[in-house]
Amino acid sequence: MSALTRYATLFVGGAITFTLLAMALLSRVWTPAPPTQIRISQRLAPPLEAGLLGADHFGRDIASMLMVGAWNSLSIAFVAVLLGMAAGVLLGTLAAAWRGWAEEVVMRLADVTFAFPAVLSAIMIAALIGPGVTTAVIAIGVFNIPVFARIARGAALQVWKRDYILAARSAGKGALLITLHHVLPNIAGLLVVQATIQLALAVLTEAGLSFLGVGVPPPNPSWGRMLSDSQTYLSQAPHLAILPGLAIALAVLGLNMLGDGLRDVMDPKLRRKR
Amino acid sequence: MLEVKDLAVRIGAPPTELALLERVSFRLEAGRTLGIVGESGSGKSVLALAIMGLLPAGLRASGSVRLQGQELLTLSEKELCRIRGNRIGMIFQEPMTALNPAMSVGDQIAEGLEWHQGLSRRAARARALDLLQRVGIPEAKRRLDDFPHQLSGGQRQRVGIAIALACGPQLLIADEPTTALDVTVQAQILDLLADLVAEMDMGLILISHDLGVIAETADETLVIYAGVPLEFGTSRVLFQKPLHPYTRGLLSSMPGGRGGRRARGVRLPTIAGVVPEPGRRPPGCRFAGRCPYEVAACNAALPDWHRLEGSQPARCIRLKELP
Repeated sequence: MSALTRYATLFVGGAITFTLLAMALLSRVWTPAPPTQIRISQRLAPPLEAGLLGADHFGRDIASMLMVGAWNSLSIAFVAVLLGMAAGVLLGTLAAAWRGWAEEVVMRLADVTFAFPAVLSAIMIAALIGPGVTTAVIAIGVFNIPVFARIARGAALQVWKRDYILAARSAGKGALLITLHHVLPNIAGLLVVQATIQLALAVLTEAGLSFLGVGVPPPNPSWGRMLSDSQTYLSQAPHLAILPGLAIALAVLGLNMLGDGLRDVMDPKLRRKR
Repeated sequence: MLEVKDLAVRIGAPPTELALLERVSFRLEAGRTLGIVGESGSGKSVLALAIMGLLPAGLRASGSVRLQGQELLTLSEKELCRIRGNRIGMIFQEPMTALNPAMSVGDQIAEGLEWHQGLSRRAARARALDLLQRVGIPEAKRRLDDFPHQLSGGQRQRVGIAIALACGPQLLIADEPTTALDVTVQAQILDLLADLVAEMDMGLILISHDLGVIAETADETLVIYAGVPLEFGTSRVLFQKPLHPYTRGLLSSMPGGRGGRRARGVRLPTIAGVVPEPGRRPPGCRFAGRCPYEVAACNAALPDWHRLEGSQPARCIRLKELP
């Protein structure tokens, strides 16, 4: 098998993710039109009649909105997953290092947190501190903590059974130092893969939150709200729904494929089983 | 330097409690090597872990282990951490799995120095290079940044030895250090260990199931069977004139062992039966049931040390009557 076919998932996923990321970054310095500029004359214009992808019900340029939306979506997802991963990995690896009651407490807390879907906790948090970017980040971040706590604990427990941990203990290292020097580097690959997959989930959740109106506040564009706004015009201007929907689907697909591809590269054992 | 007295390791709560290891006593002086020999499941590795204070959860050690007069069994985990790797080094059987695959060998050696001796990163690295050279790794400078998978089995074990030696320990415990290696590499590693013991004036506890390895390297030998030491003496005497029926059986079942080369086509003598598991061990002499010289009295109680005139001690009540 050539490298191209063997790593096809990785390449395709990477290409999609990279393109979206490039669009998001580009939107910070340039968009085809100001994404919040209202031009009633171009109201509901189909693609290519006004701008590349048409205009929405206020005549705003859809291409520009999608680009800024990509930035909002990816940055919220990234920060949230990063925070959730940091907290989750910390808790999970400590649970594995300490065992006993500390482990029980951490894992049962993880179970409780896991019982609340991100969307539900976002609505609760929005009720407390009001909707906004912070609400979305906290809700998605908190949702990610138990995911990473579980994975980190499971993987760390396996590492703790290895001889080199016994060797490290025989060298006089305590649980914290062993976790930092020996456990984390050996579970990092797994965590990176999981983070990529969680990013896909976070993008989807962020879109869901904006759809419900607890994410990025207007007029700052977001994919989720574009979808929700499009409902009224579904029969007149279907591209208002199709384009942001496509963007969300592409982002999720790209990140998932990237995660799968990374897993195949990092875990040769799994690849052989297929 | 190291004094182990009546060390026992038990598992479970009193009514169903099992002893994995009992009545282990020995002394080890600096610059000497003690060989501990026994079959799989005899409790050799448990002994090593008990001295290090690294017994798995559920196992309890009792008795006394003193390193230069300091009792180790009653120390807290924190105090033990300061001793492990600093005053006691340990070498493991599998050099592949005992090294962290995600860390360069230089870092793994330097780690203990930074941790125990507060060396700077640079100083620890320089010392790691010295150590790699001392344990005989060619092109040590280039190897410093290699990862374990880039080294051969023998080289990995040398790295393991370098890690154990890093802080200049007083006691080195080597648990089957050569079992996973080729015979030629085995001899090199044993020579290296012998050199290091003399040079650094350490005590070495060498644990092995391989009588050849022990005979070659150890000054004194402790024979353990089913969790109990059965014979203890200087290796030269013990391997020439074994007293306990178990030791005799072991030595005579070695190809080309005691009695010189055997004629081709003649079967090696074996010891009938298998090592009893903990919980199925005989109440008296642990070797009863497999011993060709067994009498009823053997099952009365665990025999004390007996010795012939001027000989090494052996736990056998019939020592004087044996042929």
